[in-house]
Amino acid sequence: MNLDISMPYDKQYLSVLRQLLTRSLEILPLSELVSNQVVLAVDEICSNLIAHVAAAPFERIYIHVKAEGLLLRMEIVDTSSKTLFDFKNYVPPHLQTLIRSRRKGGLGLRLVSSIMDKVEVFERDGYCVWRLEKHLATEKAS
Amino acid sequence: MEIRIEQIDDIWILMLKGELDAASSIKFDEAIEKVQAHQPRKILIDFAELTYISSAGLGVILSHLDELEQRKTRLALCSMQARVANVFEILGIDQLLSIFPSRQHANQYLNES
Repeated sequence: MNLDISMPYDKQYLSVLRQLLTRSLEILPLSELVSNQVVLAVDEICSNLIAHVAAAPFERIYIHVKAEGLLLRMEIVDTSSKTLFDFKNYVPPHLQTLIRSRRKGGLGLRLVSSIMDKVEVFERDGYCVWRLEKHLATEKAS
Repeated sequence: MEIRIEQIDDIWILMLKGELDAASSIKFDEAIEKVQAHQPRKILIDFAELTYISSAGLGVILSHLDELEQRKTRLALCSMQARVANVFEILGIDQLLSIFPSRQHANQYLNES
């Protein structure tokens, strides 16, 4: 399975992205819950990129999805920024800290880390690439 | 996403329908603010018709918990679809909130005090 999607840096397109991903993942041996988790992880990264983009009227986010055997790999290419996010050293805020500070953000990357088996951020062709990997179960759950 | 607000006795109810994501979370936040303005003693969020939630929706709920606690407002969440409940469970947020399988169970909890 190979899928390439691009979308503008605009939150209004997240819903379309999720629909496309959900339909495409139907051919894989994923339960509904796991499929939703994978879609959620991609949604979270794209939402983050959109939230932090300064101004990108012409740039697009590129999403590549590839399933090889039991490995599902997704790459999300941020064409608006040359700055690499230091994911290795990122420490998500504690839940109680978020509650006391009344902050609305700070949960997205924690979710992505919990859902995916591997998350990497690296530079390719001058752009920041988020690579998410998930090992698939061998049987589709009911 | 659609949000309906109702008041039944002393319980303010928010009924969510559709998808709660980064694009619609502002609307959800505004709805909670609107309810909070009435200084309610009890709030019920009904998820029965919500088909998707991302961290933006969870973040809105968490951001109001401190104020609810200070005002001694009871909050209950109910009727989540499995895929929505799963997102709360992944982060352990289900352990911080009062989540019930049905509106009836949530009402019982809210009316205990």
